[in-house]
Amino acid sequence: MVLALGLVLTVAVVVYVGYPLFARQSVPVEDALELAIAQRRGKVRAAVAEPRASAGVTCPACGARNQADDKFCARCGRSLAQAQCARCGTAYDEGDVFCAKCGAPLNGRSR
Amino acid sequence: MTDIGYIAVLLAFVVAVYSAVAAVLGTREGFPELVASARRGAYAVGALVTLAVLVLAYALATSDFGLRYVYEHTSLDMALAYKLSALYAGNDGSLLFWAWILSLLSAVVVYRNRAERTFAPYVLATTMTILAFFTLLVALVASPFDRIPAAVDGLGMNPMLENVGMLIHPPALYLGYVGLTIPFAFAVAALVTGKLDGDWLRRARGWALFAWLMLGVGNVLGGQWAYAELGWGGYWAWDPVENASLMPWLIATAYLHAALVQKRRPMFRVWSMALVTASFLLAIFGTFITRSGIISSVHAYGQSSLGPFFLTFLGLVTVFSAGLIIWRLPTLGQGEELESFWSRENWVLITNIILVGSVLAVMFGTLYPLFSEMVGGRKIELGKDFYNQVDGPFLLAVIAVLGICPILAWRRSDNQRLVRGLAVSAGLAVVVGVVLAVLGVRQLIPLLAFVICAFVIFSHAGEWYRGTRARQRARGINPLAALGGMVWGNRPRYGAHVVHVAMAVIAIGVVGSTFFVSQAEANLKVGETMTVGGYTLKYEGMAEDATATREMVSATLSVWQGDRSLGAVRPEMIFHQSSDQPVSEVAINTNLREDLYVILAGWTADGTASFKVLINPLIVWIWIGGGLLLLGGLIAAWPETRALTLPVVDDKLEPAPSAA
Repeated sequence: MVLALGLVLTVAVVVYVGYPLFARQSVPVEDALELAIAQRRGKVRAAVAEPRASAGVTCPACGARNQADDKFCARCGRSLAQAQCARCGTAYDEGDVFCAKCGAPLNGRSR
Repeated sequence: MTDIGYIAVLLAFVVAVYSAVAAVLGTREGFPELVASARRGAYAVGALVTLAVLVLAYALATSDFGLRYVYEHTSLDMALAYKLSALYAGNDGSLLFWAWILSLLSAVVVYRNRAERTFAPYVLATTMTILAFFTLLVALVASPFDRIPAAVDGLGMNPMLENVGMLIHPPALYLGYVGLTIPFAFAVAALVTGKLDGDWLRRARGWALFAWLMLGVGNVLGGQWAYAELGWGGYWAWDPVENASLMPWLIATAYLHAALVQKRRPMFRVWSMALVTASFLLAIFGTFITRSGIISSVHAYGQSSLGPFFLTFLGLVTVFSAGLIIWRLPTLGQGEELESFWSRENWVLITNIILVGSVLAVMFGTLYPLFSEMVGGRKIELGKDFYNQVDGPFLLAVIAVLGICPILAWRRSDNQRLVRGLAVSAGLAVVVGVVLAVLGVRQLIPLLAFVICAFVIFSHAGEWYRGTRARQRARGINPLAALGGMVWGNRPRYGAHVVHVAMAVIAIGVVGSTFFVSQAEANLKVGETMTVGGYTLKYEGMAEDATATREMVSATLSVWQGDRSLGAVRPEMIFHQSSDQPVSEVAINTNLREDLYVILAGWTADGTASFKVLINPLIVWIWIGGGLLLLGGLIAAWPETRALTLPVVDDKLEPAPSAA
């Protein structure tokens, strides 16, 4: 009885803790880190990139619309500067770890 | 079924180790999934240890005497609250309790910093490593889940512990001790990542304040408990375990002040790192000496085999953190120079040196029995005279500095303002001294101490008065609104002021009750009287009462102060069935000036009762000061603005990559 319970407990813990490692497609977009993962996979890129194509800039943190030449978000103050991949020159979002076009590591891998 | 608790602790150990490794690996190698998994690990550890605690609590509540721990620490006649308090009454359970608090604090800190990517993984790894140590101890060396052949009734708790104090004092201190882990974890994270500017301090501040406050309040509560219940008339005995909780508190005080400077200017970085590490080490050290049996103390848990484990852990943590600090010394050492002697920075430094000095003195006294055994072969314990003479001056000096601080400015103080501010409060303090001397306080040391405390209080009152007046004039509002607005507008500053005044108030109580105690002992027959310190006590008679588990003998005395009747006091002696030793229940008649403290010491068959009566002057101010300490701490710790806790703003602190 106790052993069975212990086994159930162990399985539950392993599933819960291991979930982010195996559930590759269903990482919840709940915070900046998860957003970064999702962006890396191209899932959220479309949503963020689309409005940016028009005149204004959408803040990647809070989603507020800003003037095209604004340097900081008028609502939350986050920097709106676009960084570029050192190897191929493609713009990337803060939080990206690898360049989406050429796969080069961006700005050190430890971030 | 209780084995589930054991399994949960074992699982918690495994998950803690995994989370520590996963957090570091995921960050270093750039796998956010691994870090996300480590975060879940931290939550899981919290849940698992909670489950273990619930299992043990259930066993305690239902008196499952098949568990050795339940058998050794509870009995059927105990009230439910005290049965549950046995969670931390014994060695094994208290380690689990410690791990539980740490696991919950870790889960909270991980959740609050879930979007933070620089420090959070290393904070997580640090707390999980420490948790791994504690859960391993609980699982392998000191399991409260060991089974024995079931007994009918348990051994019960020491009757002196069956007191409301038992429900508040230990948990508060545990929260303080364990809370010190979180600032330490942030310090480790800052050292590892090399991000040594003020950011880690800002994130650690609330936790450090919380732990510091809990330790301070826990100690005052412990003093109150000892005073009201233990019946020896005192509240602090310089017992090794009391020292063990005082030392991290003093060091944490020093740290909070060093951090205050570092938040503003790049100074004292090595100091704050060393202090935050030392406060954590001292917390572990305190746990070590209570459990190793190397030093005898009223607080010590029974001798156990845990000593070597704690010593090893202590050694490893010391080497690890000292190594980190030395490694980062080239960066840490950079900073600005002090500009002026009369600057707040410099006086923070002076305070820190005094505080560290006082801790070294306490440490020396605490470990002296060991030294003397090593050198002379005999354990010699240093009594309270040693501490009072060595640490008294240190602490008095710190309090004196408190009086100067509110007037000092950062960088460099305006001399004129400084002199004017000091002159008024120092002048008033001297007037207080003269009045006290005229009233009969002629001993030099307490007179000096009272003058210093008065100086601190006037000095702060002056600042508040000037601040309120300025605000009142500027906004045309009433004084009360101006005062409230001023305090609420800069909570860290004015909360600290309240704490400083609280320390002076506590010091007044300590000095009064140390230097001016008068006492008398008398054997009285019914109708006879005794006088002590202006009080007349008349012995009216004795009564007996009994419940199923204990017998109480109470004596009634009517009390007069001069001609004025103060009613009756009833000191008691309680005989618990479960214990050979009677417990004395003292009667205390409190007013703001002094406590009348009556102990029933014994009686004979012919109706003579012996009493010990103490007059403890000013002692109530220690508890009032304790209340102020709590209030000031809460004001200072109240979150500054909601926005600061939002992850969006946290993100902003980190500039976008190659934005320039």
